[in-house]
Amino acid sequence: MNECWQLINDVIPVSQRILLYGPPGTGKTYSAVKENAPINQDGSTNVYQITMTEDTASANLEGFYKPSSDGNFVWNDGLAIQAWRTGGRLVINEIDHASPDAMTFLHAILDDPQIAGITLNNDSKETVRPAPGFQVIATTNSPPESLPLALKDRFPVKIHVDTIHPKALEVFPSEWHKVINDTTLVDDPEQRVSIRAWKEFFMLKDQDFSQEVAAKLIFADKSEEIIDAILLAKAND
Amino acid sequence: MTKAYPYPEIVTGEDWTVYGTTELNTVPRTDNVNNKMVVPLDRECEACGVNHSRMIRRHQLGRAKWSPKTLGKFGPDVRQEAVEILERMRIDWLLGNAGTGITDPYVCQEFTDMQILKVIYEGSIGELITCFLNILTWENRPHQRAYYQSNMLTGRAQWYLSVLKNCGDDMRFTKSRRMEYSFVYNQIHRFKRKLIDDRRSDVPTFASVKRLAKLLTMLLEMDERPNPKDVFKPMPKKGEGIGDGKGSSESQEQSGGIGSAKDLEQRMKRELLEDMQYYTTSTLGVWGNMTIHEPPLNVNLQARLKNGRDYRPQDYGYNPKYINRYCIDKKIFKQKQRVKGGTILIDASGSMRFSGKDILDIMMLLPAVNIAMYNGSGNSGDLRIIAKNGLRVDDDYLSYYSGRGNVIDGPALRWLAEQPARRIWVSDMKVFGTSTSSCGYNLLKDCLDTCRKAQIINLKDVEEVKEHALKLSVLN
Repeated sequence: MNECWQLINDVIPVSQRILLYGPPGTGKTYSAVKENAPINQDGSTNVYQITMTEDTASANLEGFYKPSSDGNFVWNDGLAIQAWRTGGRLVINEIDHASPDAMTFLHAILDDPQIAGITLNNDSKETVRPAPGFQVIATTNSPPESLPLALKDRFPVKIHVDTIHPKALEVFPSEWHKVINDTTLVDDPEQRVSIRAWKEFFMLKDQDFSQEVAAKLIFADKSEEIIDAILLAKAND
Repeated sequence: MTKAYPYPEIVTGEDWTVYGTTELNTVPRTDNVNNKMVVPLDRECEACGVNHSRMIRRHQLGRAKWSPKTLGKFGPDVRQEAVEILERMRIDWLLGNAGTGITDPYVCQEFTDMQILKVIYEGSIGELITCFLNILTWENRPHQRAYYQSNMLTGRAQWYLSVLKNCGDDMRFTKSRRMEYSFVYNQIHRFKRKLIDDRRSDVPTFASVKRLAKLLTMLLEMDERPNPKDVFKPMPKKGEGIGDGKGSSESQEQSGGIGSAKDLEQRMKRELLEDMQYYTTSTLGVWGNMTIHEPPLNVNLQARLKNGRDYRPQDYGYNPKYINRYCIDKKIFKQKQRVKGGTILIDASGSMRFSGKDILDIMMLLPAVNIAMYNGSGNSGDLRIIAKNGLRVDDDYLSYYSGRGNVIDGPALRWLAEQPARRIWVSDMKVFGTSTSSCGYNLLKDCLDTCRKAQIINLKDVEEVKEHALKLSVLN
């Protein structure tokens, strides 16, 4: 297993605040959700996942009133509060895209467990504290430097993901692993081919689509260059 | 429009860095040592709309796959340009064979057309060869080897080659120029055949590129551009048709008797051209290595050549040594005796028999003449200076070293070109290279070019030398 994935594997069971950063499509979210996931008593995983956008409000994390079927309004805990209450794992995708509103709430959520506490903005004004086992794993494509200092400081463990998760590569023929890894991790978006595109390409090929058609459907304006390269890779030395 | 990056990592399975060409860095290239590639990243030519850059990227991918890490060291007789041209041909053939052939031109059609017209009208043999080898592209399909090669060329490449072939028959060009076109046409096919149909391997290898680069270098060195009047026949005068005898350079070549230096030069040029047309082979000849010998000149002819005196009384000068002659003939001044001389190069091979008496006769006619003879066998030859400054070798030396083959006509003529005028080449002009190469066109062309440049005059045998030498020679 590659070094970064081994690190992630080792650190997830012991650290409560982990930031995974690196190019898209490498398996950061997969790893954050699946690796050593806490299990509920009913056998389900105790993992809460949210993807931050500029429109994601703090209410999505804290909670909000929702109309019920009997015509009243009922308080619903947000994902962060649910994770706090149950001592589950909160996976925050694209944390760098969080709005200032959500970002401020995240600061509170990510405080040290000893001092962390939030008084909910509902009628009961309940104060909630994180249950033991609460863990946050955040993912981002940008380097940690792009995060506000206070937020960055709340993630003592930061791991750069620079290869594709081995399990994600398992679905491809072994001779393609390096190529897919290289083309996925390239910095220039015009040169990059996502692992999802590769996956779909091989799937279409398995469905009896010709290589050319599959490439055109999946890779669009990159298809000519990729087909050339594939044909040449197959050509005799 | 987005950039189009090639994917060499897919081809080789290794890490690569791809850079786009820039205004300052326009040359596409592939560095197989550091896995770096520089290619244009655009998708469409602004001028003609064709995706030239894709073909360039495809070619560079081929380089990443099939070219060696480095081109290796070249010997002194191999130009990097020759290796590059042949390697490009080889990679393009392999690309076509893999189904990823160069189906569009690397540059705009108009640009290629202009380039071809320019080399046809103005280019040297080397430039013609370079230009036409560079436009050869192969069909985009698995290739059959050997006898089906001509079908493998793209229609575009075949059309350009047909243009060259037609120029070889176009009567608007001079005979010598037409022969150059035919020669280049044959050489293009020869290189194509030798590179592609290498029986040592199933596919063309880099080893064959290096092997052929030596031959191509010889052709690229034929880089002297023709004089415009040697390309086109002169326009016919009023009332004359194209190709009418009068006025055309060819007819001038054929007219006139033998006598003046100009006549002799024209006779030599005409005969060399005829030899180039009828007696040369399509293979490339190679000159042998020349060694210059300066044997002891034992026989002193000074006394006989200058009547024993270096100085003569004259009626002009600045040193009045013979004042006593004032009353007799007024030749009171001491003047160094000027004698007729020049340099004669004798082809001493086989039938060109000559003796010590012949040399003495020549030296009596041209007392200041320097004479050298040359011959050779195998891959080397010898140039021997047999007479100089009124001294000559003895008869035994001449008879001992006469005979054998030619081998070094070209290098010997280049030596002659550096000697004092008038320069005379005594030879039947049946030039041959080393034992492995026969009478190649390039050898005759080399001789012709050297003779033209250095104003060397050919005489057939020693008798002709005796006949013409006096009027050809110049005072020393």
